Amino acid sequence: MSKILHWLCIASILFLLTGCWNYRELDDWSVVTAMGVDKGEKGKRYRVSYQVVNSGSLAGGGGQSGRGTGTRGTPTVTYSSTGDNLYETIVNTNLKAPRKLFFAHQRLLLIGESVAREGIEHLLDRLERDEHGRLNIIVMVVRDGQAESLINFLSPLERISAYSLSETLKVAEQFTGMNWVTDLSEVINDLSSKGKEPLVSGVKLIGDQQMGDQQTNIQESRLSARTELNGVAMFKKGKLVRWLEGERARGVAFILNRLQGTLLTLGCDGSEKETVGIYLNRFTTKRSIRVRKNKPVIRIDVNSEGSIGEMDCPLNLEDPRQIERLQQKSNQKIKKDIREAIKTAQKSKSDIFGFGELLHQQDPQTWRSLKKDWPRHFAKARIEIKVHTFIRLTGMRINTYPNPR
Amino acid sequence: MRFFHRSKRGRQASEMERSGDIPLNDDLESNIKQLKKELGYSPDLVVRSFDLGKNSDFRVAVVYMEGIVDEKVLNQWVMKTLMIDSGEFDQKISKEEALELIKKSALSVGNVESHRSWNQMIDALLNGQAIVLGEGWSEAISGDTTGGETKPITEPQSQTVVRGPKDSFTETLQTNLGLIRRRLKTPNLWVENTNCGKISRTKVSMVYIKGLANEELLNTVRKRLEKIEIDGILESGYIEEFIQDKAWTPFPTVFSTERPDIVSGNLLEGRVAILVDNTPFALVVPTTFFQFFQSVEDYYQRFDIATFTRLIRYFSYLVSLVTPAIYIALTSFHPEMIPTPLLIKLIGQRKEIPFPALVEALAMEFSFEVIREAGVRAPRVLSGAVTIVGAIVLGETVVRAGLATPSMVIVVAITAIASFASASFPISISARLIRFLLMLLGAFFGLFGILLAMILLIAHMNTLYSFGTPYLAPFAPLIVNDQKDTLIRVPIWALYRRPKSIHPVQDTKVPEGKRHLTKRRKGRRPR
Amino acid sequence: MESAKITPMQWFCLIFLFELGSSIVVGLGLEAKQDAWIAILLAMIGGLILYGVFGSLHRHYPDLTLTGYIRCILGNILGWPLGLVYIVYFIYIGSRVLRDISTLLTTAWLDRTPLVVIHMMLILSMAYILYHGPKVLAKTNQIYFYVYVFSLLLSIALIVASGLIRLDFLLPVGEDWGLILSTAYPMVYTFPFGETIVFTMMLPYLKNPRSGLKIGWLAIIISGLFISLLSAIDISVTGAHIASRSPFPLMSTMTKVNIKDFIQRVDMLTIMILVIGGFFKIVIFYFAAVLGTADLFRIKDRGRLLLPIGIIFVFLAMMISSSLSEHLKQGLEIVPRYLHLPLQTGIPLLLLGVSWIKRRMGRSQHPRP
Repeated sequence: MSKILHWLCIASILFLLTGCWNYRELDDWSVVTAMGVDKGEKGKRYRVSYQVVNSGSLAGGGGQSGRGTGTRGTPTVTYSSTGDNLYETIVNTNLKAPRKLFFAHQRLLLIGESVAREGIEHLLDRLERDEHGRLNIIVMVVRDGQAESLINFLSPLERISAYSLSETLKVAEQFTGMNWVTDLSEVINDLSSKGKEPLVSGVKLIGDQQMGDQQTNIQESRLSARTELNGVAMFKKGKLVRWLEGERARGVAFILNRLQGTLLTLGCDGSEKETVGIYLNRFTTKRSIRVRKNKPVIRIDVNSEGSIGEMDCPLNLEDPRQIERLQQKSNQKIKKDIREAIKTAQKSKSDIFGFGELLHQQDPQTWRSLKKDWPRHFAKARIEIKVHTFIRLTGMRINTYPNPR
Repeated sequence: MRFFHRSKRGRQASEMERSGDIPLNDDLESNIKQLKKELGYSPDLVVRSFDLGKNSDFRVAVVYMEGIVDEKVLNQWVMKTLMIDSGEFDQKISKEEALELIKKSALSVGNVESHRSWNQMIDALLNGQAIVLGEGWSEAISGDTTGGETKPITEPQSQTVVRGPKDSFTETLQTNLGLIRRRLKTPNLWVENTNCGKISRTKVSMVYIKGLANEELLNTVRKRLEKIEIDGILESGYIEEFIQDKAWTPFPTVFSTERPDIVSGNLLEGRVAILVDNTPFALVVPTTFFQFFQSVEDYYQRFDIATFTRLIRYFSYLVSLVTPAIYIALTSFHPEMIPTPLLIKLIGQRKEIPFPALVEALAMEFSFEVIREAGVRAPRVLSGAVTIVGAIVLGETVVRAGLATPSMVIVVAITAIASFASASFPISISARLIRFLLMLLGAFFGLFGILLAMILLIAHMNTLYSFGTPYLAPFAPLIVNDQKDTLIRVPIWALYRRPKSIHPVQDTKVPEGKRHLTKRRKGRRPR
Repeated sequence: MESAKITPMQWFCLIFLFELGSSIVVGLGLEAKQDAWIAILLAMIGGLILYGVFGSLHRHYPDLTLTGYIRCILGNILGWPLGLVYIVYFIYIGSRVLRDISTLLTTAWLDRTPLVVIHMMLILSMAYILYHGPKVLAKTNQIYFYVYVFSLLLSIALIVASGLIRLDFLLPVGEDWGLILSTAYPMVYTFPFGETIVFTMMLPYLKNPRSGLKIGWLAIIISGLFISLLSAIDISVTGAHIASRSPFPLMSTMTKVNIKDFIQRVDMLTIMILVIGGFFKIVIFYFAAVLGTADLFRIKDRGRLLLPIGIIFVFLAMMISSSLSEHLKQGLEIVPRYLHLPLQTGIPLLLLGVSWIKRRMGRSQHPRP
C-alpha cells in the first residue's frame, strides 16, 4: 500500500508542477473563416486579409438574456496585414486584433488575381503546415479585383460571407456544372504533380464596389454589391494563365468527371429562338491515354443521362425518334464543349486534366520518357471523343401545350 | 432448516469474552436471579414462574424477552400447554421425567432445544426464544418463539421495475429467506448461519444452491465471514466492507440488492448470497462490473428491448463519467474539434463569464452534488424546497446573472440525468468521484489527459477481483459464452449456459440433448 | 488466483496493438509512394518468418526469456553482456516510440506542454499497470484492443462514407519494384514487424504456448493487412504527395472527413488511435526492459525496477534527438540498418544456429521437451 502512496505522491507533484500550458479559454480565440491573399504594398510581398467571426453578434440567438443589447456590430470583422509570407501577416495581425487567430474553422481561401498571375506555388505551405490546418479549405481566385473586398463583403442570407460563397459554389457545382469546388489538398496535389495543373473557380464582386462592406448593403433587397461566380482559373506552373468561361469550363468538368448536374440548351429545328432545355444529372466519363508513335492519343468516353426540363417548341416527344434526335444534338453539343476545352488547354500547354498523371498511372514506363517534356506532348496529343446521352424522362408533361396560331 | 448449523463457531469466539462459560445451576431461584443480574434487571426480561400441572409443587419458569418474541405463539403454544394442557403432569413424576416430557411433547412449538451452558441459553433468549427453566434442572429448554413487530413486505425502493415482482426484502432475516425459498423450491437451497459482531450478535446467512455454487467460492466466503471482527453489524454494508477483495477503489466489488428475484436469479447462476438480519439488502458475490448494469427487468422484457435499454445504461454511465471532462477539454484545448456554428455560439456565450471554464465546470458540478445530497438528506417536507431553490439557482439565475454559460448548465444536467440511469446505485456513485478527477485531467492535458485517465481507470478495474472473478470479465479476459448476457441479452432459451466467469459447478442449464427442443419450440406457434 | 498467464486471445491483442501502435500513425513505407501498401505486405512476410524463428527458439527453451536463453546458448560470458545490450535496445526503441507519440501530441495539440511532462504522464501510467503484473497489462490491453479496433473501423467507415477515397491515387500499381523492395527491406521489415522480438521476453507468460504461437502469426498477418489498408487509405485520400510529406498522414486524412457538413472534425478518433496505440506499444518495451533487468541482475521484486527504468525512458526520449528531422533521420536510416537488423534478425538467427549445432552435437543442456 505504501508503494501506491508513493506513486500517488509523484503523480500529485506532477500535477502541482503543471501550469495548464495549453489551457486556453474559448474567448481567447478569434475564429477565422476566410483568408484573402493580395499583392502587398510598400515592398512587402503579400497583403492578407482575415475574416474573423464577431461571435457576439452571432451568438445571441435564442434570446438567452437581455444583456448586451446595444449595437452588436457586423457578423464578421476583417483584419488585414502585410508581410513577406503568410505567417508574417498572421503574426502582424495580432498587432491589431485582440485575440489569437484560429484557423481550424477556415472555410475559404481567396487568392487575388494579381497574386494568382504571379504564382501560387508555395503560398499554400503555411495553410498545410498549421497544426489546426484543414485540407478541405475551399480555394477560389478573385477575378479582376482584390481578395480583400470579398473578405469584407457582408452577405444577406448567410451571415458569414465565407459560408455564403462556399455554399454558392457548392450549389453551382450541383446545378450549373460551370464551377466546382477545389479544395486545398487538390490544389496542392495538382501543384506537386508533374502531370496535372490546378483549376480553381473564380469569383467576382460586382455592382457598387464600395458598398460591399457596409451594413446598409444587406438591408436592401437588391444588393448594390454582390458576388458572382465567374469562370475557372487555369494554371500553368503555378501561375494563372487564363480563364475558362461558361461552357468551356463545363467541357473541362465533363473531362474531369466532376459534373453533378448541368443544363444543355439546344435550338429547335429551324428556329433559333425556340429552345429545348435538357437537364443532365448523371454522368460517367472514362478516360484513357496511350502513346502511338511518340504521340499521345487521348480517348474520352462520356455517358450522360438527363431529362427534358423545358421545351418551347412543338416537338412531338411521343415519337422516340424525336428523342433520339435530341440525344444526337446533345452529343454534338457536349463534344463541342469538350473539344474546345481541350483545345484551349493545349493552346496554353497546360495539362489541367491530368492526362499526364493518367499516363503515369496507366503506363509508367512511357511516362518516364515523356515526363520531362510533357506540356509539349500534351499540346500535340490527338483527341478522340465519344459521347452518349440518354434522355430518360420528359418531366411532368410530354408535349408542350399547342400553339393554335 | 439448517439455521443454526454453524452457530457454534460464532459462539466460541465470544466465550473468551464472557467470564467463562459456566454450566447452569440446578436451583431455579438462583438461576433466575443470576439471569436478571446478567441482563442488568432489564424491564423487558419477562419471568413467569408457576407450578406445573395440578397439585404439583414442581416449579418451572418461562423466561423471554418482550418485544422480540411472537406473543401469540408464546401464549398459545408455550404458556397454555405448560399451564393448562399439561394433564400428564397429574401424576407425580420425577423432575427428570418432566424435563423429557416437556422437551418431547409439552412444548408445541418448533425448534425445541436444550441448553446446559449459561451462554447458550442467553443467546437463545436474546434471539427471541422462550426459555423454560425448572426447579432442580441443570438444563434449560428453549422453544422458538421468535417474532415481534416487523415491517411488512413492501415494494422495493431503490430497484424499481415496471414489469416484475413487486416484493422486496424486509428487515427480518427469516422473512427474507422465505422470499427466496418460495422462488427456489429445491432441497439444494442451502443456508449456513453464523453470528457476526461481538456485541450485536447479528445473524448472517450464507445462501447458495448446493451443486451449483463452486466449492472454492463457498470456502472463500466462509473464511471471510469468519474473519470479521467487529462489535456490531448494523447493515450489510458492514459485511461488504469486510469481505470485499480490495478496499481502495471507488468501484463496488460486492453486489447488493433488495430484490429477492435478483438474489434468486444470481443463486441460479451459481453465486452466493449473504443475508444479514435487520437489513433489507442482500449481498451477492462474486460480481462483475457489468452486473451493475443489468436490471432485473432485462429478463422480464423482450430480449431486443432489454438489449436496447441495457446499452442505454452503459452509454449513460459513460456519459455521466466523461461529459464535463470532454466539455472542458474541447473548449479549452481542442476548439478545432467543435463544429463551427456551435463554436461560434459557445464563444459568444463564454465572452461575458468571469470564470475560466474549469472553475465554472467544477463549481457547477459541485453545487449540483450539494443539491443532490440536500435532496436526499433533507427531511421529506423540505426536499421540495431544496429542489426549487436548486433548480432556480442553477438553471436560471446563474445563467441570467452571467456567472455560467447555458451550455455548462446543459452539460451538468445531462451528466446528472445520465448518472441516474444506471441500474444500480453503487456504480453511479463511483462515477461521481471519478468525474472530478477526469475534469482536472481534461483541464491539464485535454483529451490526452482524459484518455490516459481512462486507460488507468480500466487498468485499475483490471486489478480488481470479486471473490476470484476478474472485475471486467467477460471482456478481460474474454469469455465468449458470457457475451450473451453482458452488453446484450439474447433470448432466455439461448442462455443455456451459466456465466463461466463465476465457475459454476454445472455450467449448463439445459442438458445437451434437450437444447434443440427449447430452440425449436420457440419457432413454432403454441397450440 | 493470480497465475500470471496470458491467454492466446490476449496474446493476439498484444501483438496487434503493438504492431499497429505507432506505425499507422507515422505512415509506414511512404517512401514507396503509392505502392506503400505493397511494401508493407512484402515486409510482413519477412516478419512472419522472423516470428517463426522466435517461436522455435521459444520451443527449445519454453521457460526462459530472450535474456535467459542467450546465456544458455552462448554461455554466460558472451550471453550476459548481450542480454544487457538487448535491454538497452528495448529501452532505446521504447523511448523512440515515446518520442514519436509525444512529438505528435505536441505538434498537433499540446504545443506548449513540455515533452518531459507528457513522457512522465505516460510512463507513470504504464508503471502503474506494470506494477500489477503482466495479467493486468494483458487485460487492459485487451479492453483497449476493442476500443482501438472500434475507432479504426469507425474512422475507415467515416472516410469511406465521406467519399474521400480516390482509388486512382493508388495507380500505377507496382511502379518501381526496386523502390518497393528497398522500402520493405529493411525499413518496414524492421519497423514494426521485426520489433516483435520484444515478445520473446514475454513468451514464457503465455498460457498455451502451442496455440499462442500460432495466434501470433495470425496477429501479425491481420495487423499487417490493417497497416497496409490504412496506408492505402492515407494515400488514396490525400494522395501520395501530401501523405509522404506529412509526419502524421493519418491526421491529415482524418481532417478531411466530412459527411454532409454534419459529421466532421473527428480528430477525437485520431487522438484515440494515437494515444492508445502508442501507449500499448511503449508499455511492452518497458515491460521487456524490466523483465530483462530483473533476469540479468537476479532481482526478485520487479516493482522496484519500475521507477528507475521509467526515469531512463523519460529522459532518454527527451535526449534522443534535438529535432523532428533528426529523429526521423535516425529512425529511417540509421536505426533500421545498424540496430534493428543485427539485433532483430542477426542474433536470433545466430542463436537458433548455435542451439541447433549444440543439440546436434548432443551437448545441449536443454533437450527438446
